[in-house]
Parts: sequence; structure tokens; C-alpha cells
Amino acid sequence: MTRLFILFLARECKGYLFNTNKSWFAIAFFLLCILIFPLSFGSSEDLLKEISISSIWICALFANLISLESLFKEDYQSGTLLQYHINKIPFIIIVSTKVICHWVFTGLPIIFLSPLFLIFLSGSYEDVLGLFFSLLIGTPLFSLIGMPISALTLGASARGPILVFLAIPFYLPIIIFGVLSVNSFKTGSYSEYYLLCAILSIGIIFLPYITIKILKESLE
Amino acid sequence: MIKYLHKFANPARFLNIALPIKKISGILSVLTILVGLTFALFISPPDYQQKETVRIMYIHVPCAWMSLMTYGFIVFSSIIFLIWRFPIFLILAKESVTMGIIFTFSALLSGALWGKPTWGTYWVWDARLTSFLVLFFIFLGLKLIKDSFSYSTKGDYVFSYLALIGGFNLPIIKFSVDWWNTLHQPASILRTGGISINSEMLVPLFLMAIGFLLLFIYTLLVSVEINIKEKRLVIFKYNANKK
Repeated sequence: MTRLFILFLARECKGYLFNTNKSWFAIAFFLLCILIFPLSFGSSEDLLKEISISSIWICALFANLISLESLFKEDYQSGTLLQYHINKIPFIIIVSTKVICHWVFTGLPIIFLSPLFLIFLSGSYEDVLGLFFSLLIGTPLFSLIGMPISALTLGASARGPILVFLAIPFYLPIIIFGVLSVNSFKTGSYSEYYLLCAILSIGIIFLPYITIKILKESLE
Repeated sequence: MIKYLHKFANPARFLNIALPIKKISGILSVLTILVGLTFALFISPPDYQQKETVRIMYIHVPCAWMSLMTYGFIVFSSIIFLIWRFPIFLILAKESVTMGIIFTFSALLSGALWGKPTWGTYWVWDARLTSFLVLFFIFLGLKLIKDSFSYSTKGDYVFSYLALIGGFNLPIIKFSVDWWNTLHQPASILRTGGISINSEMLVPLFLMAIGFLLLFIYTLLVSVEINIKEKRLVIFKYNANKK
């Protein structure tokens, strides 16, 4: 089981590393999205300062959404997923490696880039740590919640727009508490962090199993 | 009892009992809503604080209840479809989406119109209003996914799973007024301390709620009937072409 897990993890990582479109697209999209905010607010520094945290969160959300479509699509269309199903490879390995790699290649770079862009958007230095930790809890949740939605839309016609429309309502609680948690970090109250951690631990337990159920249904 | 009910899972048999229910509920819903409206608009007293604007409540509250009930019904039917694969429950769940959108939208609209004279604003981003807006978008997503699969059997489980995942929002809507400090007032009917509303206002409120429920049943059964007959027509055409 552990050997199989490492094997699949290596396969997924190779997929992201050698297919440059897959790994760089989300980050490039994040950078492009960030560019919109300073440009659209003109020269008003104060307004930009107020909105810097929210804009980084919004861009993280959209970068995640954009890369979500490719989560199962390739393996589903090439029939690889069906071969796994026939050969009775446990789906929990496939699903968990996929979500881990998705987070490592789209969520993690954004987390490490976020302090830089907070300063770039003329945010205050006090918020750096709060933003870092809130994104650290928030981005894996984005990947986890997006996973069943991505599996649901596998056979649909006009897949991309539907995926975005279905996923955003489920992302809303995360972005609400994520932005709130950064603001309350300065005052020393961590209640939103605890709430996000609670959602994350529930999500880690339940969402992979829902995804497995949906994937198995779509292969029958 | 369950064995007795089992045979009505067949769509053809279901239609046999559904058609009389449809007629009765259609007539009754019109009567109840008319009686409820006369009570609500003319007989019930104006509120001591809100004056005449309180009468918006008789539309707003039943609409909100009905949209929550519709989503609960969709979740319930989806679970039954996923476990036992009765096709009739899938049809019921799919056809109630449109009514859910209408109820949710009218609850949001009447709430906004009621908010202006009492709160001084059409819309605030408090927990109850936001979670209700999320419900509206989940309904729209269900409506979108209902028609986006070229092979309907594949869309069936996608629809039910999405309805199931979206069910997380129902407890949030119900308890949002208790968990956060909201501008929206806390529950005054379904609460632990009992009902805190005068019976002169309660009677038209319940009449309107029952009327809306009957209206929902009527429209649901009409669209289910159309759906089943459409499927029959497809099979009929297929058989005719084979000969």
C-alpha cells in the first residue's frame, strides 16, 4: 500500500513537472489576476491597502478554480482511470495523491508568494504572518472541496463554465472566514483559524470518500 | 406498510394516485391562499412598531420556509434515489428545482422590499442573508447541471450527489441567526421557548404556508406528469420506428 502510494505520488509529480502547462498555468494566472487590482484602483494607495488581503484571497481562489478542471480530466479521457478501476487499485490512493499534488503545485507556491504580493499591493507588514497561516489552511480546503465538484462534471458538455459555477458557492464559506481570520489575527483572536481547521479536518475525512463514490459511479 | 408503498415507485402506478392529488391540491391551494390573503391583508392587525409593512411577512416567511423545505425534499429524494434507485424519486427531485428557484427568489425579493422600510436598507451582508443567497446559487447550479448531460443516466447521479453536497447549507441557514449577530431577527416560530407571535398573526401565516405547500405539490405533480408522459412518448416513437 505504501509502495503503491509513493509510486502514484511520483507519477502525479512527473505529470506536473514535465507538463509545464499544467504546473505553471495556475501560478501565471495568479500573477495576472493580482495585476488587475492595482491597475483597476488607479492611484489610490489607501483603497489598495484596505483591499490587499481580499485581493490575494480572490486570486488564490481563481487560480485554484482554473487548475481544477485538469484534476481528473486527462486520466478520465485517456481511459487510465478505468484501467485503475478494472485492476482494483484502491481509489483512495489515486484520489489522495491527486489532491496532494494539486495543492503542492497550485496552492503551495501561492502561499509562499503571498507575503511578497502583500507588500507589492502596499499592505501592512503586520498582516504577513496572518495571511500566510490563513492561506496555509485555506488553499488545501480549496483543493479538497473542488475535488468532488471536478469529479461530478466529468461527463458534462461545456465542462469549464459549469465547473466554475458549481464550485464557487461551496468556496464562499472558506473565503469569508479566511479574510476574517487575517483581520482578527492582529487583535490576537484566533477563532476563525480554529473554525477553518475544523472544516479542514472534517473535509479530509469525508470529501475523498465522496469523490471515490462519484468517480466509481462515473466509470460504470 | 413499506411493501405496500413499494409498488407506487413505479412511475405509471404513481401517476394513478398522483393525478387525483394534483387536482385536489390545486383547488385547495387557490382557496387557502385567497382566504389567507384576506386574513393577512384586511383582518390581521398592523404591528405596533412596523405598522402596515408587517404584512410583507405573510409572503416572505412562507416563501423562505418553502424554499428550505424544497431543498430538504430534494436532498431526501436524492438519498432515496442513490440508495434504492427508484426512478420516481429522481424525477420528483429534478422537477422541484424550478419551484425552489422561484420560492428562493421571491423570499429574497420580498425580504429586500421589507428591509427598506424597517432596517433602512435593501440588503446587508449578514449571515442569514448571505447563506440564503448561497442557497439560491446552489439551486441555479442544480438547474444548470440538470440539462447539461447528453446521456441522462449519467446526469442522474451527478444531480443527486450535488444536491447531497449542497445540503451542508441547510443547517447553516437555520442556525445562522443564533451563531452570529445578524440584523435578521432570530426565529420566532420554530424555537426552544415556544411560539412568540400573536395568534391573530399566526393564523394567516400558517394559512399562507399551507397554501404555498399545496401550490408546490400541485406544480410539482404537473411537471412530474409531463416528464413521465414525455418519456412514454419517446418509448412510443422508438417502438413505432422499429416496426
